[in-house]
Amino acid sequence: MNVLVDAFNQTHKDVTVKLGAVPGGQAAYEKIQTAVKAGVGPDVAMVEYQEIPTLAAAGVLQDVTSLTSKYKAEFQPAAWKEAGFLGKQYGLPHDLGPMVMYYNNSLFQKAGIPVPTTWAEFQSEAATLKQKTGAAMGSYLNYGLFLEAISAQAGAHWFGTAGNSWQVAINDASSKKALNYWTDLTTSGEAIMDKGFNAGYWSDLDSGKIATYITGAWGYRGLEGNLKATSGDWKVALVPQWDASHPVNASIGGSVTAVMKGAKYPDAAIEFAKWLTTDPAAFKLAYQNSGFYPATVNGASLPEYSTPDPFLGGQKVGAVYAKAASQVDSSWQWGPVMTSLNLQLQDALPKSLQAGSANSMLDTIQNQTVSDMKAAGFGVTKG
Amino acid sequence: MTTSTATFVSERRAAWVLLAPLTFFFAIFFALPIVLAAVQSFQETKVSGGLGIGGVSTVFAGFDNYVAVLTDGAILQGFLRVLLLGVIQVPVMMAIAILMALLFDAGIIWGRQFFQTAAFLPHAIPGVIAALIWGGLYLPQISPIVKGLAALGIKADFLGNTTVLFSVMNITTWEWIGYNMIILYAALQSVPREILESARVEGAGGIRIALSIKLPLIVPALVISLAFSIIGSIQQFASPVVLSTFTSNIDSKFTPNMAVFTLAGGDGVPQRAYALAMVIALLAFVLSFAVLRIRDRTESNR
Repeated sequence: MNVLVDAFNQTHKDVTVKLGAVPGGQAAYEKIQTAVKAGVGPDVAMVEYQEIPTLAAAGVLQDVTSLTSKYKAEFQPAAWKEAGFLGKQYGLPHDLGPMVMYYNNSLFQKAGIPVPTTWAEFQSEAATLKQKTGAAMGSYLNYGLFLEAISAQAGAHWFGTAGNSWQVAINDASSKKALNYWTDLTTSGEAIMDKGFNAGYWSDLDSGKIATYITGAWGYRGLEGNLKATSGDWKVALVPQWDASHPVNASIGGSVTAVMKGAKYPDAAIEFAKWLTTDPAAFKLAYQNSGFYPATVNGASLPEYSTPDPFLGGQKVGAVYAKAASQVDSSWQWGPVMTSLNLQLQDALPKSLQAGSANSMLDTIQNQTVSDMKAAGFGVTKG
Repeated sequence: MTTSTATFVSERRAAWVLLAPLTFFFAIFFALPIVLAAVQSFQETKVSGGLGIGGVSTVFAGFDNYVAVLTDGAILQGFLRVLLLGVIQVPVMMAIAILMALLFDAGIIWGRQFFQTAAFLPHAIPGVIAALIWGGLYLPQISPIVKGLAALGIKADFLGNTTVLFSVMNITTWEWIGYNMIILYAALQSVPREILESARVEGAGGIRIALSIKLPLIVPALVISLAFSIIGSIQQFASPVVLSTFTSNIDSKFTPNMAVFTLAGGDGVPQRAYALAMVIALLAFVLSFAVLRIRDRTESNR
């Protein structure tokens, strides 16, 4: 982010951006909320999509609909929707995490299996892969955003709004289908549950113990930075589908350059946000530093995406990312309690594996979420 | 008469002047936050407008937050875990620390300074770094210990559902043995040498001296160490947080302090974190008070 801010300040003489780095995670949002309420907040902040309804409810976001509406056509519809809430726009989308499948191509070749395009194929090939190479096909990531993305892809809508109340449907049939699919794979040893992002997990990928890593497009930087032995063996493909004739994708992660309430220069804030996401030089820096995939419709036009990638065996990744991004379903709505919900999911997942089914976990979390939201004053009807 | 009153008044004034800085900072940085936390633990934040965008208000909640945290199964399990920690880890650690301190004090160990420094060194390593180091030794994919045991045909899982608590205990023990050993060793060094001399003249052996003379004389230091260790158990936080990035078997409410952190940072009812913090503080207070009372009793019995 430092390099980006420096680059912006060098090319924009009328606006100067000062960067205040806050630690990642929930603590950052707490700090921003407190600062905004105290009137000493920043003008803009990078906010993850799933936090927008929470921050909107906390009253720390500035409605910038009138300043941003002219840019709508430049962004992926899903990203545009998630940068706002209830028809108000709170900033410009920065990056999107369209779900893709990174896979170890040399393991696939050893097992003689093609790239799966449906979840049924993924499962049947998993058995072959296990038999021929001993490797697990998938990573069941114990990570809230992953669980939400696989549910969303199966057609779930955990949150929605109707009139003046929230609709909550965490335990609907689609979510149960998606999570039970992964529960079964894990039970049979064809997937391995892991929290991800730790040395043990990277080692499992690099030693050929796990053959695929399904995550947001940004997952590339983690792979490239942590895998050594299998560099060049990996490739990226679209994520398998439930129904190949109706491809649906979901996003894991991604963020908004959001304008904060009380911002003194909202138009300058938008100018910065616009530059950050749409200026080729800016996005090249973002891509190099964190592997972000732009939230814009022509995100894949960055030259880096059409250059053969050595880690991915010389693959040109732009086309895959662009298609994955265009398939992200824009009807997903985040709820106002994502942090606690994600922690509940992560806490409960190991027990769901012991039970061999995700049903009771999803039922319990649905009830808990509804009662927590009601206690906090939200109007809730079952979705 | 008048002079002594004047002296008394000026002495009292001096006392207040000298106490003022401490009182001031104690009030601002210790008493006030506790009072604020206590007040907030009886409040809750309510959103309005159904969807939550109609503004936020803070209302009186009675004991709702206390009921919520004390009926949360995951939090109660966390209390059970720190209880186990106190019952299993603290005695083991204290026993080893006492043994080491006695050995060092008896001058039996060759290269005492080296071993003393080596035993204390883990305590000089920041807790988070220590947990990261141990995490690497526990993680099956990269741990030389797990791999070594596997080569011997032993399947070790340090991050398993039932074993992970003991792995946390191991880190705590490793970190704090040296610290407790130093406190006990210092106490042993201050035992008057004449007493030990006369015991020796009376014919007491090394073990007899250690058990019957040295240990009873360092009971105050032992109790202090014990009190700190028990409070430390309740406050267990850094090691499990670090290990939770490696395994799903440590949930977000694994220990009471982790639960406070989880509740405070979430988007639920942050005031529940204050309620739980008050419960933990009360528990730590009661336990330390009890331990110190036991010490006072043993002191007065002597």
